[in-house]
Amino acid sequence: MASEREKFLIRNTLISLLKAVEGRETTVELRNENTVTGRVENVDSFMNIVMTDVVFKSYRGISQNFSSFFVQGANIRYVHIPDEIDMRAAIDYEVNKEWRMKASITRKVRKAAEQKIAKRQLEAKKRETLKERQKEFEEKKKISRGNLNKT
Amino acid sequence: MADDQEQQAPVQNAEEPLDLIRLSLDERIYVKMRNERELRGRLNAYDQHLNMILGDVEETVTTVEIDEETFEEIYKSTKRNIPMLFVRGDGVILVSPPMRTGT
Repeated sequence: MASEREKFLIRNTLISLLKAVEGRETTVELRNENTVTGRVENVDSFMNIVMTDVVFKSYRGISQNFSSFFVQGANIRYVHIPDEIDMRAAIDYEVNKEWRMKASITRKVRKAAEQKIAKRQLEAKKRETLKERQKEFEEKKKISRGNLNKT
Repeated sequence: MADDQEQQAPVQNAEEPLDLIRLSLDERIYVKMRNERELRGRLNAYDQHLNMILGDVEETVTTVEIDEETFEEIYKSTKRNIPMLFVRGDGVILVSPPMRTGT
């Protein structure tokens, strides 16, 4: 689970859009002129990127293959964004993620609380009706006794 | 008379530097970056770190070579085009509307 600080950074910066690139193939250019092309596994709030099936091309043009690669955020210069990404939707999705999670938890908690209250009300009602019936019974008893006394 | 004074009041108040960038959203801009790089593209998004999303961007890298014999400075520039680019803010020096050559 991301720390509070990370969540804040994701919500309030363009990192939310970079998170939309997760799972896609793209190219990351580093500050030292090297390029890393591969599938983005994960992006965190500090722009650190974990990639898989990577071709690392040095500034001299020499290519190397790596199955897994970690790029420190501070070393990134550019990230190429694949054309298929709808940026607006991606940012909205990330920004609302936490809200959606909280909303679903709130719904569950609220439902459980409502059920509890309903149960309690039902039991109170039962007790009420029971009391009333008892009262009526006592009343009837008194009346019948009264009648007996009269006669 | 009081109405005239109100109409002359500025539309945007407390404008900070980032607000000036906001005015350029969806416009073509010129970005000067570290390591003698320049970008010209359409600004789609930016944040407080100056991370930016640029569309249809042309990057220009300028290098200076000094001729051994004549000690002349030869300026070379390499250009390339990228459809959609995320730029990390710590490399950005300045942001401006595209410079017009000539007058």
